[in-house]
Amino acid sequence: MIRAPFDDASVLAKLRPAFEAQRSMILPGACDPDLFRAPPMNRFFLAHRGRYHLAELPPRDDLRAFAEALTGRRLLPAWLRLFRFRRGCYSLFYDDSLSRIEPGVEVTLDLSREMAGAPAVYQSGPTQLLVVPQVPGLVAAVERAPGVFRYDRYLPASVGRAAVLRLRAAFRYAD
Amino acid sequence: MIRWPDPRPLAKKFAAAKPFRHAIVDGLLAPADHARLREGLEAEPLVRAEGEIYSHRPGADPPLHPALRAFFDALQDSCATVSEICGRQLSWADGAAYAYLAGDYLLPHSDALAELGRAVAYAYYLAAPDQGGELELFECSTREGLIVRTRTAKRIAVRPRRLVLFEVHDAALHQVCEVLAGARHSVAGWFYP
Repeated sequence: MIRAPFDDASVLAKLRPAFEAQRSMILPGACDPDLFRAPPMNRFFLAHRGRYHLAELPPRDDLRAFAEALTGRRLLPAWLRLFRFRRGCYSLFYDDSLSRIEPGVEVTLDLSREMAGAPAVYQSGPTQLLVVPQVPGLVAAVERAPGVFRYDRYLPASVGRAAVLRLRAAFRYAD
Repeated sequence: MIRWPDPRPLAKKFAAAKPFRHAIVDGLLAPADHARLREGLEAEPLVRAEGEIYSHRPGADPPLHPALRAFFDALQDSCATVSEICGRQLSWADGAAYAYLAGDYLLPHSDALAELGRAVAYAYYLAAPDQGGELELFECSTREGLIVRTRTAKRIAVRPRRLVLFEVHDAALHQVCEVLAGARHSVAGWFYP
């Protein structure tokens, strides 16, 4: 699913200093949504946590290899989850707090077929650390340090029938 | 300025309301006072804000426009009445003006922050949107102190001159539904012990 040249460990090793400096990296065009077939998903709704569809997936070696090459760290897969957000969907900090892996790394692949606009936001207290734009094919890698939380911004009615598909892989540091 | 109805029947409604205690007061201000307040909001500087749970346009707290300040002064003077309605001693209030335009929202939350001490929330509606913008109240089921199920229990329509009062606690989840068309203008805040 990771597109060339980002499936090449030597290319990712060259990006590593930038990841280490920013503790995050956004790579537009680094995955191919056309190669992904979404499995059946379950509806999730708890008002204070979020509204979305969710599928738990088995770990993928290609995503771990990508994350290890980018971070230069040995990683253990914690979970792989597919989230689908449509009009009226969102997820809040509290939802993230119940499943976040820290310290570790979170890799998100935007497997949407179209742009709907609502980003994912990583924040520490009132400070926005990283806004991950909603762009099909974009891959984001973010170090999950203590105190860093994520939310997926609400999709308003203006998105129409568009769906945002985010494949998220959480890894904890193995050493 | 504020025309409170007899608080005794309102207190009974407040105490019995589901999914959590709340009361609705229509016609809180006389039409002329309401019109002045509405003019005040239109002159108040409102700045778009976007965050985890909100996209809207709040004004300053406390507000700048004299008509809005007069309304908040009247609310301060109403603490005894609101205390009687809500069944607890309240001594002061804060608040700000808000505008929600199409696409704006306030996602489900409880207002309960121990360090802030909010006791009762209020919203007074100045202008109703053409579609959306309702105040939605959730019923929460809990297990071992955690919310494990939430269900929409009530939607309160936005009507000019309507005041909504509701209690603040962890399970008093509510939201402002997305405004789909038009503009929703309100003043909102909290009463404190």
